[in-house]
This record gives sequence, structure tokens and C-alpha cells, in this order.
Amino acid sequence: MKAMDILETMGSIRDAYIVEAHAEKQHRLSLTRVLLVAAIISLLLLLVGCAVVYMLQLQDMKLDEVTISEPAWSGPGGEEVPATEWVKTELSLQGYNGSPEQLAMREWKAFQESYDPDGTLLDANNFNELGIPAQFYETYNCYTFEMADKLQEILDKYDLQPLGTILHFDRWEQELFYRALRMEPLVSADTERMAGYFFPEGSFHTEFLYTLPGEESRVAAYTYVNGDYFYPYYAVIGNLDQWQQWHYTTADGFDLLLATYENALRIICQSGNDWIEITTENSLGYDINNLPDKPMTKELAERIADVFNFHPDPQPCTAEQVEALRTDYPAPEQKPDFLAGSAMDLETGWHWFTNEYGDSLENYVQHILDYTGSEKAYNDTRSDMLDYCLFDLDNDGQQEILLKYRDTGKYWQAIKVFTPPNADAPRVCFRYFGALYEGPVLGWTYDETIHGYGDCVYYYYMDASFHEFLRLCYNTVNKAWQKATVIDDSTDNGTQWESISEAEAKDIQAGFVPMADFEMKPLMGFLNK
Amino acid sequence: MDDAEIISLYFQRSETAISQTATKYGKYCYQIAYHILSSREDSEESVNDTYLAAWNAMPPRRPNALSAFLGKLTRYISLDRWKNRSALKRGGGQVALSLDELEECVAGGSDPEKEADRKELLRYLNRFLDSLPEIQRKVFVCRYWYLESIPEIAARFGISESKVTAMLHRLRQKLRKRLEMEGLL
Repeated sequence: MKAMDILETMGSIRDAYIVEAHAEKQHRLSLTRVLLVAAIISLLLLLVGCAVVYMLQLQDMKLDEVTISEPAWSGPGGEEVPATEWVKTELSLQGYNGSPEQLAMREWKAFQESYDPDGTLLDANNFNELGIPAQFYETYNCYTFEMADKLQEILDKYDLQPLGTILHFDRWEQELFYRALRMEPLVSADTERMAGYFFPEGSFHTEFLYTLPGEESRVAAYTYVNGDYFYPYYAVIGNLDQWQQWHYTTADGFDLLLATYENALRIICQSGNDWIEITTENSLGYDINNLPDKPMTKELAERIADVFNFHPDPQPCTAEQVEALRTDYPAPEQKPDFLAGSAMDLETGWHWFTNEYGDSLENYVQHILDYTGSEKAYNDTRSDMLDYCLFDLDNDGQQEILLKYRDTGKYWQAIKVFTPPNADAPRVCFRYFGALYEGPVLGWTYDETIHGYGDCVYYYYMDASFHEFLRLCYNTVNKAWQKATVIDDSTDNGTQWESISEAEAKDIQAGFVPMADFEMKPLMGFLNK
Repeated sequence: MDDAEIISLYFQRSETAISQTATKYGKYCYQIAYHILSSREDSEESVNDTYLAAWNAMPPRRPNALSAFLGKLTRYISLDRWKNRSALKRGGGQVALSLDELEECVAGGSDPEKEADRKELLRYLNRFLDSLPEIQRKVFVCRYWYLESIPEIAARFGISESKVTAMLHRLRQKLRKRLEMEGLL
């Protein structure tokens, strides 16, 4: 007898054993069917006095979990910041554990992570001088033929097809996106600033602001994966065990997996072979006023889920069709920056316009109304949301104009007429601040994590002359607080930091009591007074 | 479409029988073929040959488990193709690895007097599989029927690769002992 005899004879074993071995895969139910079965079981058990909870979890989509260690480091004041560790979890955007799509993504990811460790090959092909086919170069980031061959080998192994060349669209091309893929709107709520990318086969990713009735806008990201094609990206979140997960059926009858952690919400929907992932947070869209995030409640998560379309049914298109449509959506004329034509005194932080906007209060206010009224472009400010009041901030007998956002309650500017440094005559000068406390003390918050500039949130406290006398810093990664009372940004180590506890930081912040509201009037009425 | 409906299409000699089979089992058959042949083109040929073999077999065959029936056809066809194209020289697929492993289960040399015919061997293989706990049987079938790789089997059942390797080693030892007891070696 030879080994081949056994191998060949194995081919004729009982059918039941062949089916049984792949039962998990062959009889893998769609999420919809699983939830229906679970619901029936739950109902039956409930009738006999039991209850069962069935959960299909994000854990089923896990690709990898990595613990990131950050070594101890010395802060600017010489203080020791201890080493920290945090967990990073990578999630597949198509396929469960053991599925061909997940296995393929694991192999492709592992290959990419070990390939070209010092970037030499990447440097040698920065602009695709090698001529890698666009589909592999742009969609899958293959910058050598070796990478393209490896990707094709993985696709062949798992019988997957590659997506075509990535097609980008910007916020003024939202309609192009819908027309190209012949889709209905993704959200039943108001949306704006929708931008992202899609593929000729229908997979897409887009980010936008959406607004539930009577609420502030929020940012969402919507990813749709056509399951017949290998999607090149995966999601990264923190520690999976910290997420609360449950199943929810929308008003339209779509079965979803909802997952929340702090202010974040993740929605997963499987429709046949296709996957949808939606992420959003319970924080204001593009909030420049750094309001604290509010937790994502179960009730809010389900209300949000109800406004999304889980059957967008994108239709295939070609790059040529998309480019032909693009001519209908030219980019808007670039608006000059709000501060174009202004000067600034670095020491005091006061701005003023050297052109006609600085000649009079009326001119400056008209500039604000014109700029913020035509498009919600400048820091999301809208002219109809601005109020003003008159208040002698620095007790010099002249009232300043204080501008405040009616919707958020945060201040924006103080406006004062005086002669700035290096100017010959009085100008309308303005300075930014965010909060007004008893004293008076002016406050300002800068969150560098919003734009990815860093890990810290800074809190500035200034006297009525806008002289900064206290600064707090919160590091969002190691959760450490620092304060500085000696502040000098002119040199690298000019500001003297010292570590403080969270309790001390909160005590300091609580010591600044918001000044009672003044009589605020709409800025739009300033010119008519 | 359920299996009974698909089989009915074969009996009606309907042209849609093949397309329905491809829709439901195309990927399944392709995976079986690819594990043996490691070549997209060869695997696609094997799958197409499977459809032809199924068309010729039904009627009169009316399989109880269509997936197993098609899978067996694909496996036979792919193994034949592998043998004919001297796949060993090309180093392709899991077949060579599986054969190396299964050598442990056979005697050192071929003994014509102890050669069992295939029916007898099949009976013993089924009894061997009958005696195994479910997970061990599944792992054995995934390796030596589906010819899946160790990492694939580990991922499918959520166990470590070393556990799969150790489990297969013990199972092969057990199979060898069973074949010796039955007088086949």
C-alpha cells in the first residue's frame, strides 16, 4: 500500500464527514439569518421562562491585535512620564474569521508589513516610474512588480478579484458620486461636505457631516464593500473588549451589529456577500470650540442607525464615465482666507486689517457677515449663529465688542479700536478667545489631536489685557496633566511645565467661573442698529 | 436554490443546471481544486471538468449530498490532473505534503500480499473516522480530503497550528496502528 492509495481512497469516505468538516463554512448563515434564528430561539425560551442573548461580535472580524508600548520619556520640565501600553485591534471590513477574504487580508497585510522594511524600494519608485499597473499601484499600494505578483498570488489562492483603479471625489462632487454609482442617498438626514473615494465595482468609502433633526451635526464615515472583490483596507480600533455590542433591527428591517465605546459608535451590516461599516461619534462635526465629547448612548446609537440607508445598491461604472461626469462639477473658486489682508502683533495676539476692513467697526462686521454667510467655510462659523454684546473688558472706559456663537455658547472674538504697533492710526483690532470667566479672565482651548498635530489639549488663561498667566496641558495618550505659570513661546524651553494630578487640574479649571451672560444680540442686526 | 431543485434541473436536462451549480458551489469546488493544483488556470479547468462530470452523472445518480458529490468529483479530477502533470516536480499544492505525512501510515515497502483492494481500505478508513471525536475527524478530513494547509485548518477551528500538527501526527499514528491490526500493513 502506498500513501497515494490512502489519499485517493480518502476521496470516497462518507459524504457526511465531508459535509461536516466544512459545515461552519458551507452553512455559514448571513447575519440576517443568524439574527432571525436567534430571535426565534429567544422567543421560544422566553415562553418557557428563560432568556438567551445571542451575539455576533466584532471579535469575529478581528484580523490582529497588537499591544503598542510607548517608552518612558522626559517632559519639557524634566519630569518623568511613565511608559504606557495600549492595545490596537485591526478589523476586517469584509468576511468573518476563516473566510477567504479575511485569510487573504491577513496574508497580504503580513506580507506588506515585512516587505521593504527600510523603504528603499519605495524611494526608488515614488511616482510609479516602474509602470506598475494603476490598479495595483493606486488601489493596493504595490510599488514593485514583486508586490503586485504577490498580491495576485494571494487573490488566485482565495479566488478573489481585485478592485479597479480608485476614484476620488471632493465635497463639491457629492452628486457625481451618487450619479456614478446610481445610488439613492446614504442618509435620510441632512448631509454636507461629503467626500471620499469609490471603485468601478461599487465599493466605496465616504465621510461627511450629518444632522439629526433638532441636533448638532456629527461626522460619519460610511464604507461599502462589494464582497466579490478584495477590499484593500481594514479598520483599526483600540481594545475590543472595551466595546459594548448588541444587535438592532432598524425601522426599515435591517439587522445590524451596533458597538459603542465612550462617544464612538460602529455599525456593521452584512447584506448577502457585501459589507457595510459606519462609524460616527457623539461630538460636534469639526468642532473648533473643543466642547467635551458626550457618551454615545444606546438610544442615540439606535436613532442614528435608523437614518442610514443599508441597501445603497451601487452599480458598476467605469473610470471614463466618471471623468465625463466630473466636468459637470467644477471645483468652486477658492475663497481668499478670512484673514487675508490682515496683520498681527505676535506678542499680544491682536489682529487688524490693513485694508478697508480695518477702517471701521461697520466695515469689519460686514466682512464677517459676508465671509461666513456665503458658505460655511471659515471654522464652521455661520453669520446667523453669531451674537454680540458690548463690555468693557479691560476697564479702560471703552467697550469692546464680544462675539459669541449662539449654538455652542463659546466666544469667538473680542473687537476693539486702538492703534496697534507699527500703525499710524487707530484700526479695528480683534483677538480670539473661547470663554469668559469672572475676573475677568479669558480662556482658550486648543486641541491638537483634532488635526493630528499631536496628542495634547491645551487650556490657556489670560487676563483682560490678553496676557496669558496660566496654561494647562492634557496628554490624551498617557492621560497626564501639566501646568505652566511661566509662559514663553519664543524659545523651545521657555515655558516651564510641571506635572500635576488630574484632581489638581480639575480644581484649577473649576476655579474659573463663567461670567454671567450679557444681553446678546444677533450680529446680523449690528449694522441696522 | 436548494440542492434538490438543482438536481432536478440536471434530470430535466436544463441548461441552467450548470449555472446554478456554479453559483452555489463554484467557489467550493475551486478551493478544493486549488489546494491540490495551486494554479488558477488548472483549478478552473478542474472545476469546468467537474460540471461536465456532474452533467454526465445525473441522471441516473441522485446524490443525497450534492456538495459532497461535487467535491468528490473535483477532488478525483484534480488529483488525476496533478498526477498526470508531475506536480511533484513543480512542488505545487498540499498533495506532496500530505503524501509525505501519510507515508507514516504505510509499511516501509510495497507488499503485494498485503495490498488491500480500495473497497476494503475504504471500509477501514470509514471505521477509523467513525471512531474519532468530532473535532479530530474534522481536522483529519480537512487535511487529507480537502487538502487544506495547517494554517487554514488552525484558523477554521480557532486552534493553534502546533495543536493541529500534533493532532494530525497522533491521528496518523492511530491510523497506522488500526491498519496494522486489520492486517492491511
